[in-house]
Amino acid sequence: MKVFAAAIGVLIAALPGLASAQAQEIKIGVIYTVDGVWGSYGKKGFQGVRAAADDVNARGGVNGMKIKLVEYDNRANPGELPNIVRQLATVDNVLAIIGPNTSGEAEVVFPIANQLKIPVLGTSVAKGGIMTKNRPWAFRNVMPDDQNTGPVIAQVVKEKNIKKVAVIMDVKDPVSKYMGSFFWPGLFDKAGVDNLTKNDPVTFQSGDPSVAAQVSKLKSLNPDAVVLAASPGDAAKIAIEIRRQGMTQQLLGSGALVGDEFLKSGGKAVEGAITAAQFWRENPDPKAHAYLTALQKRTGEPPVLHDAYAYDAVLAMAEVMQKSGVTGKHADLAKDRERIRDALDGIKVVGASGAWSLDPKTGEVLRPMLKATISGGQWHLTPISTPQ
Amino acid sequence: MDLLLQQLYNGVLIGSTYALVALGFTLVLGTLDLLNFAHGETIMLAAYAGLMALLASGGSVPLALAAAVATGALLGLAVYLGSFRYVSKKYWTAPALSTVGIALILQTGATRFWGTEQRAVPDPLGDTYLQLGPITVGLSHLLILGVTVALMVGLHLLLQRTRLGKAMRAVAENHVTAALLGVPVERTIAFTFLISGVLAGAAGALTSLVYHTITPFIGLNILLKGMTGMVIGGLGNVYGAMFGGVLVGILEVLAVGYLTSSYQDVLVFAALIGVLMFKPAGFFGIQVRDRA
Repeated sequence: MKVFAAAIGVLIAALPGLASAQAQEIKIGVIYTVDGVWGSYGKKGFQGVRAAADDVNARGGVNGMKIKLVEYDNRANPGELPNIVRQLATVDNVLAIIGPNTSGEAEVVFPIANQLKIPVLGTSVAKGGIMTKNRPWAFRNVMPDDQNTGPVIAQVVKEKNIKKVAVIMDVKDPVSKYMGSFFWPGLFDKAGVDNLTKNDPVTFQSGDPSVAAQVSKLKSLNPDAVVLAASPGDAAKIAIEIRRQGMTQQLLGSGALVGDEFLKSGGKAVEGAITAAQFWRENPDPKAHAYLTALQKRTGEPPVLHDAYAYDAVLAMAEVMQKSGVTGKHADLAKDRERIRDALDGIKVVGASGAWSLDPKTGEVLRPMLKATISGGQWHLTPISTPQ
Repeated sequence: MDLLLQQLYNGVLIGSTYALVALGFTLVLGTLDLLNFAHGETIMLAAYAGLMALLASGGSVPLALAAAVATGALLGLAVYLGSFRYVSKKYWTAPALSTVGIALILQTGATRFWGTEQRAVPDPLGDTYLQLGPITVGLSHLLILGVTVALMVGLHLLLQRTRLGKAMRAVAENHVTAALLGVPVERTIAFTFLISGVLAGAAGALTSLVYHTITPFIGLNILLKGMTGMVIGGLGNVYGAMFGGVLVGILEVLAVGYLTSSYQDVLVFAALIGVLMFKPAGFFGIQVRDRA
């Protein structure tokens, strides 16, 4: 009887400890989709955040608290996003959200996060102009295409003496549509290049089975270069049709194309294609190299932008939580979220994607700009600038 | 003019694959008076089977075609057994809805197995193309057109010159009378699904070559285009399906070439609505039958 009473006593004594151990967890929400045309981004995103959370936890977590990821897959359905954000913010009570992985989804997630006052850090959200509408709670660690691709392609156009271009864009995807309708025409106007599709755009819709008609139209324009404003898979499909119809023109694109999907799907057809890039797998920085090696070890695959940026998003969150002294307690939820938001402004990180920082005024990331060329079936990256 | 000729050629090429889809679809409709909504996903899975065979064989197009056709035939039979043979005919919606279920299972299975990304389809003949005046003709295009025409001719001969074809036509006309005359109705229906599956398999392999890529989501789009071709051509009429499929391809390409891609579906489905309003039996349909 005495033993039993002692055991009960021990259990009672241990209960507060158990309760406090439960509170010693820091919850971060993650929203990605592994379906649809951008599904490959989401898969890598999940891999990246999981690897980073494991690594941070293995190093002792954040002020002794372990990171717990609360993950949601919206299955490429933007209609599910409002409920997911509300669930994360008000039921799961996460301190911050990482994701989503496309600009179209960010246009749903960011305003709600802003309204609910929860920090959100998008990792593959590259459409220009998104941030201005969603401050102060929204951030992204991917450079928008207009800031990254513009200077790189302007230089390529000059080097290659490209005088006339034709742009093909996906009118169903918000990023590609934005790029094809505003970004590329603006860039070529500025660079003095004749945009043959400015008044009569060549368009397709993601999911269109054939792009033969569009390519015949491009061929009839006889440009010096064809610009692909499309997801990597669709861009590869267009490139194959371009070569099949006997076109040998230079292919240009934005940083969205950099990765294995465009390279592998396009095969010989994308040889020689040039795009801008911001993620450098062969980054010589020792710290970045160490993170990339750790990431590759965990995922079993060479890192790409989407897992590296997701990995860095968790690193950044862990760092700001550590420095700003978040408690992870339910009573401090609103205060903790404010602390994270304030600490994210202006943060400087060296992670798997190299050195980057967040502009405290705009929430935009600053990174080196790179030119990416496909040669010999591989991407070759050359830095053309470093952030100011 | 040069561009128009090239676009018409593109349209015929794409349309010929739609015609195969419409043919497979219309065979089942003609025989059972019911729609097989799993036809699109049969095409998708057959396309994946063709791709796997192409990769495994190091680029053998005949082997890829054979794998796709075999997969299509097996799935055609499976759909018959799963959605028609043992599903109550008391409610005519039950088998059709059952095929929707099968379509969803097949698509979800494909996304889990192959992922959601587009898979590139290597074209072993892709580097060879001919310049026929203003038209660029790929060697693979000739293969696609050749196989499509061969299948159409084969189907015509099967329906007109063989016992099975006669039985299929008899069952399409009236199940009960056909059975009274000694036609093995269930076996004929099973063969119809098998042939429909063969056409779906060929359509899968050829569309993946035309489109260069496949995803688990191509089924619905192809199905809708095939259905539209079938309705425009005339419900249950195989020659109408051939005509309708090609017409849909041409309309689609002209919309993209001379308007914008956003209008391609508008133009195709406007044509469908127009046909339904002014020629409800389609171009080759004889009459619209009332359901008993």
